Amino acid sequence: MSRLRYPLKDLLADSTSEEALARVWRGIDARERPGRGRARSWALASVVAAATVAIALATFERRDRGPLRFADGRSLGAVEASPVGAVLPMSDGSRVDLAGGARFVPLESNGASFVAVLERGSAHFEVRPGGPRRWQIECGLATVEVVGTGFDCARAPGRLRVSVQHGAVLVRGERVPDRVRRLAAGESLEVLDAPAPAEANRQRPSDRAPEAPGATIVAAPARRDPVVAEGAGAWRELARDGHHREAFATLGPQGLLRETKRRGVTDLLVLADVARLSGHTAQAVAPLERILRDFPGDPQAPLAALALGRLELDTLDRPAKAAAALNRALSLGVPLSLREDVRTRLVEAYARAGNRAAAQAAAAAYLREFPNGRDRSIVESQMR
Amino acid sequence: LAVLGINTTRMGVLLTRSLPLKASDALGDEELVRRALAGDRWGREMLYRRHAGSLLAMTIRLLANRGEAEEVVQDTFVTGFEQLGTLREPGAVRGWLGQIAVNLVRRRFRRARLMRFLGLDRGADDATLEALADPGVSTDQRAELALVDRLLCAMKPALRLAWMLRRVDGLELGEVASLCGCSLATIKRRITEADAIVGRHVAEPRRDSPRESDDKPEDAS
Repeated sequence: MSRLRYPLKDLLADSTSEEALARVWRGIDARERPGRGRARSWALASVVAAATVAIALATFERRDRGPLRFADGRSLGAVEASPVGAVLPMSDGSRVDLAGGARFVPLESNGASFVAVLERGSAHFEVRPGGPRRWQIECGLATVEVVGTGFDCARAPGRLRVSVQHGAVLVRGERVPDRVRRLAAGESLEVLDAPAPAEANRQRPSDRAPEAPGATIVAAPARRDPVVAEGAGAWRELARDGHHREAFATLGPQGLLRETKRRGVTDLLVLADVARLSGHTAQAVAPLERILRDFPGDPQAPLAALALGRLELDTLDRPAKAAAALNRALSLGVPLSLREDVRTRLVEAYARAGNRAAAQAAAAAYLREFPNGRDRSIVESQMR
Repeated sequence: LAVLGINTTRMGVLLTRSLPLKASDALGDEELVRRALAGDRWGREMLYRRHAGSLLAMTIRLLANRGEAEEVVQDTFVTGFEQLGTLREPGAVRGWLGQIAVNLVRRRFRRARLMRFLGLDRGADDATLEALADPGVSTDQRAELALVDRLLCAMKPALRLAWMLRRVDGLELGEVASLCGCSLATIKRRITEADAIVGRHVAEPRRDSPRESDDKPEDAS
């Protein structure tokens, strides 16, 4: 018999102190009110910075009166992204990140407006706030109008999804409820090519269940989408109410496999959640893999690939498979907000799989894309 | 508040051991959250004051490093205050902050494991179980705690997290599952697996609660 007893906490001394708590609070206070106590020095720095920015902007605006160009001065033309995607820096400081296979065609550009069409695939747009042009992106089922914001457009046959990271956009189209919707940061809209005017799923951050930051629940938006529901089986209703164990019990292992073979993307994501959250982690792989195999053009496919990569890396401890899934997420065009996480995980997956050369290549790719990324120090070590 | 001698504009003053907490003690978490959401900095600080101690103690034990634990608690409250509006049940703020903290700890575990793999170990931890042992703990117990420290270092992050919350902090299984954001079955499986690892090296410690393996998860995958 050990001399220890659970909980081990009973054998430990109090590890906290008032000094530590006060120190942490000061840190919180400083981050919530940056600049307090350093107001004078910051004020001086702010004046200098503001003057610099004003001069730079004035110079920039003078240069930026004609049609929009690529940042290197070339005239705009149609761009078809390679399987790994393409980044298009623009002359006004804006940027378009095309996912693998996406096709982006500029239609019209002058000093006041820029019109382009995203013919296929997914893209992330970072439109410079305060820029001289109004951007209008035609996405088939709808038109997205914007002045300065960051948003994603993902086209798939019969479907369009617009998600706004910051700023706001106007989405117009016959299939858009009331023909126009304004989306703010954190909101998304899915437009379906249905005979009747499509419903739309619009989520505000405040409508979501509280979740711990850093825990990305990729399947949640689609799971709550009533439009794309393909059936109302008992398991699905249970899953929607958060009763994943009961949903799995209703399905059984064979039922889950059977449903995996015949369901659409939305239900496949729910099936993966049912398996994962009921403790049957390994069985969550099949629905996610089917999305990647049979629905690679779906807007949810990149997120399914990321979910699969996380599952393989964090839970199933299969780093080689995780690397394959994470690469797939990148090639399918995972949203920009998740790309850094994907690239970091890819370095880890290759490193854990013992593939040092691939880990180094993945680290180099990370540093090219995120030269000031939060995981830079770790990733840089792979380059040595 | 003025009657109680509390200056609501100087936050640092409140963080002394002699702080009269009766005013905040009389208010539930729901009221403090409501006040914090309304922009009342006193409400925020009282939330911090009420929950930071236990969170800091938990993160120190989990991370075995005081500096990192303080960073995690700081990040937890900054994030928590930023996202307070998304909290559906203000009375559940304690568990919600715990989830944020555990999530941040999990990230640090992942990062630490990768750094160890790459030969970039961050150096000695200053709050291992052995280092935190009460002065009254026997030499034998201290040696066993040191052994547990070494086993935990080599353990997968998910197992380590679940096992520590259960076996070190003594939380109920449901609480551990909630903090880790996974199912009860998964948590039971992880703790059972970690128990087996510890059990191969340390004779079974005494425990009041039943074995996790007595209540088997439905999936052995």
